[in-house]
Order: sequence, then structure tokens, then C-alpha cells
Amino acid sequence: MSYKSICSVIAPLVLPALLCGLAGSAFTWSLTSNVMISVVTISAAIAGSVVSVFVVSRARKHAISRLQRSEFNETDLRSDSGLFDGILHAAFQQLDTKVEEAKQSAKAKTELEARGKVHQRDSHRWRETLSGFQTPVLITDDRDQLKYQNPAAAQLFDTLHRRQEEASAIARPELACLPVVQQLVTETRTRNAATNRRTTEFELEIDGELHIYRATSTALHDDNDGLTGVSTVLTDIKDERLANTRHAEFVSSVSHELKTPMAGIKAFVEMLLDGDIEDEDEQKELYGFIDVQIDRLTRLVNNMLNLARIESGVIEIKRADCELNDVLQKALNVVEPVANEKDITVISELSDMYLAAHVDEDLFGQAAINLLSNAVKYTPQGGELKLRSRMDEGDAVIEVRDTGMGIPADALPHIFDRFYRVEQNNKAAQGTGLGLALVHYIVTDVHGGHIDVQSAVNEGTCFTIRIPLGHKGQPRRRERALASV
Amino acid sequence: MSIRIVCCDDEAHITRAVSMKLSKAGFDVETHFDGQAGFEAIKREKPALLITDYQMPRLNGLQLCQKLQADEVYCDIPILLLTAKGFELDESQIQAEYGVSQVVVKPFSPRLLLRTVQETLGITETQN
Repeated sequence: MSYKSICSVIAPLVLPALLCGLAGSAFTWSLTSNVMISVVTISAAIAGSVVSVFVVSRARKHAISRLQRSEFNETDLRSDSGLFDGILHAAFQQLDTKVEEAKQSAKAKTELEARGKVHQRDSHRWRETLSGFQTPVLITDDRDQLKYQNPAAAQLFDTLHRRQEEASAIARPELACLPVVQQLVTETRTRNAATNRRTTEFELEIDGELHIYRATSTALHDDNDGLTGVSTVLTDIKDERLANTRHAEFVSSVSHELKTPMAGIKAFVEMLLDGDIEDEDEQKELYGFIDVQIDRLTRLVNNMLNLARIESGVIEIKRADCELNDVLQKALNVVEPVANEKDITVISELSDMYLAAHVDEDLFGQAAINLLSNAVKYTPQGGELKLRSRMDEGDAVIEVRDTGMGIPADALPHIFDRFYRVEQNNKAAQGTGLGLALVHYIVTDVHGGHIDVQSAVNEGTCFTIRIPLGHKGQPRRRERALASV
Repeated sequence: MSIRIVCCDDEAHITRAVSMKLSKAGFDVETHFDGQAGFEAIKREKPALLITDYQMPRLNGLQLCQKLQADEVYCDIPILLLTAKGFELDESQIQAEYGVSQVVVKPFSPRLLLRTVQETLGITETQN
């Protein structure tokens, strides 16, 4: 026990006894003026003080030895009972405070650890998710430094690096490869108060193929709304653009094809109503024009509806077992009278074999009629039309060949496009530009077949259809042949 | 002598309707089915007005207009563009770039077409 602490323990006990003795002596002196009595009083006070010190000292020694033997419980110690003059009590209070602080600290640590684990798990999850994207994704920090790129982005930049051959020399190689994206990221970061999302579109040629990208950058913030970086997604919108263009072309074609016959009808009806045409023969001529244009409109609308119905699944495709030669012969019977009117020689060379097929007879027959009637339309007077069928391994092969005006080579890739009409052949016959599109759809999409065309201008055209042979549930002939090997 | 008009359209019924209406009004209408044939007809004899479709084989309507614009002999011929693609074209741009006087959208009224022709040529019905 230090001197200071001894003094602090003894002083409160001794000083009151001494003070009481002195006060009592002074009081006695003032009453009696007797020196003896005062001396006795002081002596008694001193003796009392000594006794007090002794008693307290003994009690404290006893308490310390009990403390060493752990005979006090926590309540005794906390109450202190004056044995240690509140030192223990104060010490316990400090200890309690420290324990509470330690508890809080441990709790905070546990929470932090838990949050860290959650963060780590979340981070792993979104990295895994983004790595599965085919769309390039980049995350940059608050200084536009690239912090993350998914494999699609890495592949894109790798391609660009290889092309630029200067990757190692660039401080921020990935973004530097795409200045337009770099600029977008910087703008999104610096101007995120106005809007936290920005987009731009740009074209990029990669390995000879043109890609159109839409870059979308979004500012990222922490819980306190502080900017932490920018995420950027590069979406290839080439197909979207193409679809939009095709849609616009389709609408334009439909509009043109509908308005042209309507223009004739409107003009002739108005002239008849206005009494412009007095001559009866001319009037009949106009009625004839109107009739032809109404037929044209009807044909156009029917073709469009058929195509739309098949594509949207409104028409139920009724595939059934049948013999293809029967279907082809029926189609030829429809077209033959028209061919005869033009003195076109019709030659039927249908296979002697039984061509078993599982097709929708109506639709497949419609495809055959479209091809045959096209052949008649574009073959001049006195020409020849040949319909052939044969078996080739597991397929039925059907040929529609004519000696007509043919199709120029530059038009061949487009002849199955909707509303496409061969410019040079436009005047030879009326058409909607949908007939061959319908044939293509019926053969390829509905029946899983293939259609090809060969043509030479002023010599003729040959359409070749190939579809799998066999009735429903039967192995195809080719499969049977392979199985028997 | 009647006023000569060249009309080009690959749709026979359209040229027939235009021809009948304008002929009745006293115009001399010459019809052609493509832009190239129309251009050759113009070169043979300069008409007072050209009425042309846009979509035509060989030489389309705007290409025909360009050829006429480029030739100082024919650049002053008034042109009416008769087209079903009216809503897709920027009329003011076409007027400025191709020298088209007016775009007439199909389906059209022959009665209004006649009036437009007369206005473009600056003539009244009685004059014609």
C-alpha cells in the first residue's frame, strides 16, 4: 500500500478524533479555565484516535485477508461497506464501464464481420451473375479507373487491344480503346447531379463485322449518397436496329401495295361519278380496271392474312400422312388451265415411287400452286412448265422449272423477302410480293424443308423444294438405311 | 395547240386515269411506264409539266427529277410527284432538292389533280 493511499485511509479516521479532542479541550477551557481538564480531554482525544486507527487497521487487515481468501461475494465487494473507503466501488464502476465498452466493441466487430461476409457473398453473387452475361459490363471507380469487367467486356477489349497493338502503353487500356465510352463514363461521373444515367450509341467494326452498341452508364452511390463509381453496360443493338428497319420497310411496302390499287379505284369511281366518261365502252373499260384492282387488293389482303395467321399460330397446322405426288398433281390441275390459255406446255414428271410424307396438305398445296402459277405468269406464250418429283436419300425433292424470263442474279437473294418484286419482271404480271415469302415460310418453317432457286435471265427458273420423307412415327428412309448398315 | 404533259407511272391504271382526266380537260398527255422512258420523251420534246410516280423501274421518280434539275434546258419544267409514299417523304426537302413543285399523295382525286395542274401552270379552266 503506498504512502498516499495509507494517508487517504487513516486521515479520515484520525483527524476527526483529533479535531473533536481539540474542540472539546477548547470548550472545556472556555468553561472552566482548568488546564488539567483540557490536557485530559486532549489526551483522551489522542488516545481515541490511536484506538480508532488501531481498530480500523485491524478490520482492514482482516478484510484484506478475507479478500485474499475470496470470502467476499460480488455484492459485498460492490457495496464496499466502507472497508476500502469506496475504492472498490469506484473500481467496480470503472470495470463495469470497461466491460460494457468491450461488449459494445465485440458486438460491433461481430456485426462488421457479418456485414463483411454478406458483402463478400453479394459481391461474389453479382460477379458470378455478370460473368454469365453475353453483354459487356464495366465498373469504374470515382476516378474512372476500371475496377471490374465481365468476361464479355474483357473479350471485347482484348479484341480491340489486339487491333490497336498498343495496350501496354495505355494507362487505362480498356476505356482508352473506346473513347466514346470513356467520355460517357466521365460525363456520368461528373454530372451525376443532373441525371445519374446516360446513354450513347456507337458503331464498332469487329473482325470485319459491324456492331452497333448502346452504352448505358449509371452513377453508383454508397449509403450516404457519395459517388463511388460508374457502371456501364454495352448492349449490341444491331438486331434491334435491323428489326426496326425491317418493320419500317414492311409498313412502307404494305402502305404502298395497298394504296396503289386503291388509287386506281378512287380515281375511276370519281371520274364515273363526275360524268367524265360518257362513252359506254370507256365506262366498261373503267369498270374493268376497278374490278382488276379490287381483285389485286383482295389477293394482297389474303396473302398478308395467311402469312400473319400462320406465323402467329392462328391457323392450326394440320399435318397428316399423305402421298406427296397426289398433293402436287392437285396443284398442277389448278394451274394447268391458265397455262393452256398461254399455250404453255405443261410436263408432269412425278415419281413412280410412293412419296410418303407428313404434311399439311392445304398449306403445302398452296406453296406448290404459288410456285406453279408464278412459273405460268412469268413464262411467255408458247413456253414450257415442268413439275418433277423424286426421292433422294431420306428426302422428297420437288422441282418447278419454267422457260420464262428468269430472275437477275442480283435479285435472287431477295426473292423470298416480303413485298420484294423483281423490278425487271414487274410489268409481266400482277403480284403482291408475298407469294414466294409464303412458299418459303410453308416449306422451311412449317415443314422443316429447304427451298432453293436457280435462274438465268431469258432462259428460265427452277425452284427446288426438299422435305423429309416418311409418315408420322416412321423412321425416315435415310434413318432406316443407316440403321440397316 | 394543247399543252403537253408527260406522265410516268409503272401502274398502267394510274397513267390511264391521269391521261383520261387531263385529256378531257384539253391537255395533251403522253404516258410512260418508267423514268428512263419518260426522260427520253422529255428530251424529244420539252413538256409544259411532268407528273411522275416515285417507285418505278430503270429510273425512279426522284432520279428523273435530279436528271432534269441537272440540265439547264429542262430544270424549269414544273414537276408533280404522284406517290403512295407521301407520308414517308419530307415534302419541303423534296421541293428544295429535286425541284418538285408539289407532292400529290395516292389515292388521289383526279378532280383535285386537274386543279393542281392548272394552278401549277397558271392557267384557268376557260383558258385551257
